[in-house]
Amino acid sequence: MDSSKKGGGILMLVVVLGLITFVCALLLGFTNGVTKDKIEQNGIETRNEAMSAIIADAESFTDVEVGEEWTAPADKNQPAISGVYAAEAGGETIAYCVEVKPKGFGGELTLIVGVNTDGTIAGAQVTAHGETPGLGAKAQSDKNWITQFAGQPADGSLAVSKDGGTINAITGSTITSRAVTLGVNTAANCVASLG
Amino acid sequence: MKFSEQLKAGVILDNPIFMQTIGLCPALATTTSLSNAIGMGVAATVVLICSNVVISALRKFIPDKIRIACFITIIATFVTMIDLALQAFVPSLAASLGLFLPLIVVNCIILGRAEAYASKNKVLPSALDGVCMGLGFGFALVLMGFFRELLGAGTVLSGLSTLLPFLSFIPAEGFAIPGLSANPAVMMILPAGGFLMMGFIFAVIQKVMAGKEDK
Amino acid sequence: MFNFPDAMGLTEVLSLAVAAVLVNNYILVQFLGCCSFFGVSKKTDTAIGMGMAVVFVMALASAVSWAVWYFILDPLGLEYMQTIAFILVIATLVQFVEMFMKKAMPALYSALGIFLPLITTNCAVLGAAISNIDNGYSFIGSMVYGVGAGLGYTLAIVLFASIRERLDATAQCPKCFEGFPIALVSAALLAMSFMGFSGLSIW
Repeated sequence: MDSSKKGGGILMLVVVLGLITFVCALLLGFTNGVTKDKIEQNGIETRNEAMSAIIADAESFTDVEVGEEWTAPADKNQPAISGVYAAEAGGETIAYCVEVKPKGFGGELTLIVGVNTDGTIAGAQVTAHGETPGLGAKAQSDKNWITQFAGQPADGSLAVSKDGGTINAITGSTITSRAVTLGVNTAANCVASLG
Repeated sequence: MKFSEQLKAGVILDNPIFMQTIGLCPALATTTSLSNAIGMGVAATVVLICSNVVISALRKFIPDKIRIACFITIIATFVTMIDLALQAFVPSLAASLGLFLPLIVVNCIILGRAEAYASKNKVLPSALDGVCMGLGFGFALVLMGFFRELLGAGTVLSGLSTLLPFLSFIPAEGFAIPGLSANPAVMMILPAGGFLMMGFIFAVIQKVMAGKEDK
Repeated sequence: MFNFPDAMGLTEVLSLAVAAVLVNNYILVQFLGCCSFFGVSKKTDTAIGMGMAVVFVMALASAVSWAVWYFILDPLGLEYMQTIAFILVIATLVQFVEMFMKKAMPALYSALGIFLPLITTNCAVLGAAISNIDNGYSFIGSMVYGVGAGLGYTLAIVLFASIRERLDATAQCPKCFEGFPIALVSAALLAMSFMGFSGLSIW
């Protein structure tokens, strides 16, 4: 075997693999271009749907800026808030919706919490989660569970019954229930700080 | 080989899950409900057909030494395309399949068929092989998903109307089975239940096969 | 330009390790790596070998894929290339490890060598690489998670192999359950016992 032939072989391998990778990268770039906006839009739509469901009377939602102490809290146990929206009707703010991401059993949960201006919780919805199907996932799928937050005081004092509070945990999913409760409390505190 | 024979091989005689026992991870992890099982089955089948066709078309062009790297690149491309498409058009399914969507890339069935079949056969038979093996895989998933959802959640067909909009007459929560939906055997949709259900299905298959041999 | 995740405290890293080994055990809780779990668990010796090889590759893959993500893909806005980039990183890594071991550590190679090609298609490795990014772990956190998940895999596969050895030798079960079905049922029991760890998740 002469070395030149072997070298050509390796060059051939590089060319073929390079070509395949190049075509694949082009295809992926194209697919990404087509789907990117749609994926972003889906996220926004899910959020809007959840917000309109919680604050049924709202006519429009406007972004509200909040400080870093909420969006990137120094205390690791405080969940980060990824957005605050003022729900408006007839030119007045009637409630705030807060998107908050507490840590559940299977990673972050995305939670939308509605807080009325009169200091009560309007409601909450889980929009994304990685919880165990049949257990923690009930926080999203069992619509009767999450409704117990509606009407509770928005002073950051809520706790599951195991911790001496009034929130009934999902059977077998104390961790998920605690996460949702913590998310609701954080949202309430954040709205309270808006004044 | 005729299509009917290929079909019989894919779904029954060489069923990827039940006979070859490969691709078990998604079969255990994504079968907590029938609609998830169908979604995973369809996604994997589409990837399988696409990768089989492309690999078969390029089989003379791909050098033997780097074939695995080429196969994986091609498969990964299709998986990402499906992943993005699902996120864009069926976001609820993408969310519930989660991590297992990108993991189709390491599903042994797809690389296995690329290596064992598509790299040695013409394009059309390879495409058909993809269809048949995908059907076999999907069949196994559907079987698991149906029974696990029935026992573990006490419902039938939940979430199917979100997956397939033309089936909108089915309620989103599916049909509740009286008596079972109030007190379901939650364990069946937990990981342990997945292993258990698969064990029982395998036992039934062995029983049936033993019965056939006796005759 | 580079956007690294926050550094993690010691307790955080420790609880991450416990979670990866026991609470979120890759095989018994998350179903990642099931193919090899059933494929190479007939003997305890081979199970240990496979487990060690997985720990090794997983640690390397976690480190390299972390670097690829935070130095290349994320700054360039190529997030959608994650799957393809990571699987190629893992495939290349496995190839290099195999070549390196063959030359430098022949003894280790003869013990682990046959398992290495199997690891490319082990979804546990790719799963760990993607989870590290999804969960936003720091570099140290990713390494700990990778090693922890690998150790959890080893624990599960070695436990399972020793059960299977007993099963094959002494168990009397209905004829239709012999072999694979009874192995699955014992895996179910093992998974059930790991559910007991779920309370450990938050310290």
